[in-house]
Amino acid sequence: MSTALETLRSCAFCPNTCRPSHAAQSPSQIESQTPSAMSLLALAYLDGRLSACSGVLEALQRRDAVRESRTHCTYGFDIDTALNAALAAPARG
Amino acid sequence: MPSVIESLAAHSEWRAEPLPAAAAAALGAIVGPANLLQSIADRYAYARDRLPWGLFQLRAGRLPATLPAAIVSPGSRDELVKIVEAANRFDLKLIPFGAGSGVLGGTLPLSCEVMVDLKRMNRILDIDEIDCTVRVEAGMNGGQFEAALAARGYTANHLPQSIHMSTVGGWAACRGAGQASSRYGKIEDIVIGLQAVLPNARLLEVRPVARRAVGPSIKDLMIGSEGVFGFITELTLRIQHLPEYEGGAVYAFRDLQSGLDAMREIVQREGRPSVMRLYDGPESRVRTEGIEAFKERPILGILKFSGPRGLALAETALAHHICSAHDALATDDAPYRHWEQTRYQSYSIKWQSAGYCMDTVEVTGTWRALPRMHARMGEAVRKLHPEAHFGAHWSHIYPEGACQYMTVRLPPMDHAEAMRLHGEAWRRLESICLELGGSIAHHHGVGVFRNDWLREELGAGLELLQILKDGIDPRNLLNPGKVGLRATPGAMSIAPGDVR
Repeated sequence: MSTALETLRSCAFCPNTCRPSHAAQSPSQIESQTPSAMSLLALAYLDGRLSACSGVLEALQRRDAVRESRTHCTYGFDIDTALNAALAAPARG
Repeated sequence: MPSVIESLAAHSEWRAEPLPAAAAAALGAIVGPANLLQSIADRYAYARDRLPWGLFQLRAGRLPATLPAAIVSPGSRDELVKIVEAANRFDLKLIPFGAGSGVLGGTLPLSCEVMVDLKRMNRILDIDEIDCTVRVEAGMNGGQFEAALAARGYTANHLPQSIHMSTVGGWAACRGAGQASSRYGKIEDIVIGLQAVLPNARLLEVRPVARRAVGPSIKDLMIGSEGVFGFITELTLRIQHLPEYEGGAVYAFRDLQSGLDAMREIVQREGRPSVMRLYDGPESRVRTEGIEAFKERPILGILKFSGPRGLALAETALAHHICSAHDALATDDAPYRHWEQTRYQSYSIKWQSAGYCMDTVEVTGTWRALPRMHARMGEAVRKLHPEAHFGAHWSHIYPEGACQYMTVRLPPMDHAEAMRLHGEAWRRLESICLELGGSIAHHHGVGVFRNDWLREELGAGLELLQILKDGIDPRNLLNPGKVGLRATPGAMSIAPGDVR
């Protein structure tokens, strides 16, 4: 859990160097599905800053861009796995 | 799904006015429901860009800006025109959004504006191999853009560190610079034409031709406008053939002045290396550890030569002659190779995630002023705190001067005190720059964080910009409060030193 949180903290403050891994042809190009945004949202949820009624849990299910970034992360993070581990713990909200 | 009202009640500490229902219906009808986002979570993700001050607030559990009212993603210029028409009908404030990699807060919502995410407009429209130009939509990712050009044997040679995390339109909107600027220029030199949607929804076209004499440059009103004068939708850029030859060289200089002199002489004698980088003592040390030549000559210079082989080799010889005349040693090219390997990475995350306050400030100075700028700015930052780090490098080199790119880093400490010192660092650096005749920004733009100093640099010029803004956007619909221009009444203010 703590490793997952550390990974999310690093990713949340990274400017998305993995961004080109998400295909330009993809119909969805929204910011909130990028790995860094997903990490930020997960941390805000786990800290209690975003409650479940914010739509955060639905947002955190949009994993396409996160999965595509797996082999493109400059720092070797697997954000999909980190999100699963962090969100598996009891959350506030 | 909870209603918007229920969601807001649970997050009442934020300013988060939602989109009025009629406006939401209108925008949804234009782009389709999937391309209009209104949940609190989606709006939270768009309530930041890469302004380090904003990151510090988020890290402390505070939101740096208001939530945007919504996010709308047009897939075409026609959809964008309809969005701007709707904004005029419903009095909606709009912020153009590319990839959010700006570091001056240019896309932060200050009064619950609607974010217009342009990343669906992301195609190359045409590559003209006779004119050597490319037409591209503004929302295309920079890394994908260069990859597509490379597949055809070309490059635009706009290669910023942020290339993979920024869009082509964003480069133009903030008047950015790439790492090969010393040879190919900044984005304003590379873009030759553009199309835009103005705040009244009219279309603007600047024809893609090499030069013109038709009055003041309309192109330059848009490049660097950070969205206050309109949405850039399409750009035409110069391109070059991929280089036949690329080679690097590393030099060790005895002191900073000899390094600066050598860089100046190379460009003043018409050498144009594609990359020119000179590092001060602190920045050289971390890049040259264990290399013998740097024990007596501690200042690192990195050069890269690109283009037709004969031309590049001639420039290599010219630069070597000049550096040698300044008693520099050509040495181990490990620093060049390391730079090549990491040139598009972000150095900040290990510090930011460890609680440091790290920021970068880039200014332009004349050759005459740069040595004093560096000495005085370094001293001013180091006096702030015993553990304050100040380092600088010069990597955009011109015959008349250079960009001084500074890294400031404060150790972990109480949030309020860190923000006070961080704000003071900004004040000292920008004030010294102005005092020594420099420009407060070389390529990061103004956003909202440099508003105060912009007034001092532009003087009556800022009044001209405000008159233009009032004329073209009398209701202040596009990105209000940015680039030193008037904010919406009641808008959140953001300035260095503020604590949320």
